[in-house]
Amino acid sequence: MVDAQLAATQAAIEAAIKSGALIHHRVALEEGEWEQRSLWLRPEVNDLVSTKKLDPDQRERVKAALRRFVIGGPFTVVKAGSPHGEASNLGDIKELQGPPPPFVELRFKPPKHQLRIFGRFIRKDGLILMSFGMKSRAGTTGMKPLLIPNERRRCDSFFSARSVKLEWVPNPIENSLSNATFV
Amino acid sequence: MMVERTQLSASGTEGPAKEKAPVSEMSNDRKLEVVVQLTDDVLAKLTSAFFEVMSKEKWGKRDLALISGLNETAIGHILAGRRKNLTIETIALLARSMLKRPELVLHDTRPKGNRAGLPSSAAVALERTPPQAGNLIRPLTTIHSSSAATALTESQEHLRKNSALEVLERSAGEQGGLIQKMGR
Repeated sequence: MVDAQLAATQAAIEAAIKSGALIHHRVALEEGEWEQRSLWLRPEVNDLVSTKKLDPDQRERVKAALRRFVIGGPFTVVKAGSPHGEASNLGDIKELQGPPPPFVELRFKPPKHQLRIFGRFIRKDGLILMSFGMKSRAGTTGMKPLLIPNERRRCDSFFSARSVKLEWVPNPIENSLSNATFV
Repeated sequence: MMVERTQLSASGTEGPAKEKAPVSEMSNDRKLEVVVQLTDDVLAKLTSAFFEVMSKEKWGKRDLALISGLNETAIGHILAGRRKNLTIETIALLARSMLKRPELVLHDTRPKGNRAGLPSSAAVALERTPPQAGNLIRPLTTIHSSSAATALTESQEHLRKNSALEVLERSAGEQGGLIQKMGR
């Protein structure tokens, strides 16, 4: 049962990669490092990370965090029902409010505007990043306004179009990630 | 007494240095990359420690400020990644206030010929699965006990095993064979 689900997940991901709908995010590994988690990006997210759309410092911060993800580094996750309001802006990953399965955002702190990248875990330690948006306290971001329900819908559409089943998404969020602290 | 300098050759064997290794300046992009990577690592660990102390001791930023003497707002800025020029003193005080002992670990990036960092293969993944003494990769237990800054946890060992299996699966898939799963 689990094996069949893993194989189906893998097949759906591979088909999406083949069609160009997803890009497997690889990082340059150094001595003693290896890929411990899998990360796939939609082309628009990949463009954001690999081109000069972002401020160089912020781009490097994003790349560093994605690298940490891939090599299995520690991650902090704020659960949707977290009682720790103080931590809600500090985690690497935030589970957004809404119906299951978990829909998450990765937050990248300033400089300039706060970048948020949205996505879903497709299996334990396997994350698809779908779309992104900017929020800023300091004026306009120059991008379209960020509406989380729209991002969630976009994610749902992708899952539906690519035969990626929502029931494959680990639920609750604690089942999504190893080497992580959840609050 | 003359001390002979040694270096690791490409094959990973130690031997005397015959000539000075070439020196090349880091590009500005590379400088930014390495600085941001370390910053990310430090902040990730500080944030993780904060989450832990918040869950276990029920301490908040105010408590940490009382313990460390650091400004509460400054702690918030540090953890939120807004503070530039974080000093060693600040890291030491903040980490200690969160009941963690910070330690700088310098990982040797010289090639050792152990194939770490090369493209994944099933053989390499299998090789890496059991961390044993004598392996060029440091045993997980040693790292866990000796390094607060870069400690790998048991869950990472789990991750590593999973990763090995995934590589095996990929490899089997690429060869057109059946996906072989080991005890899953």
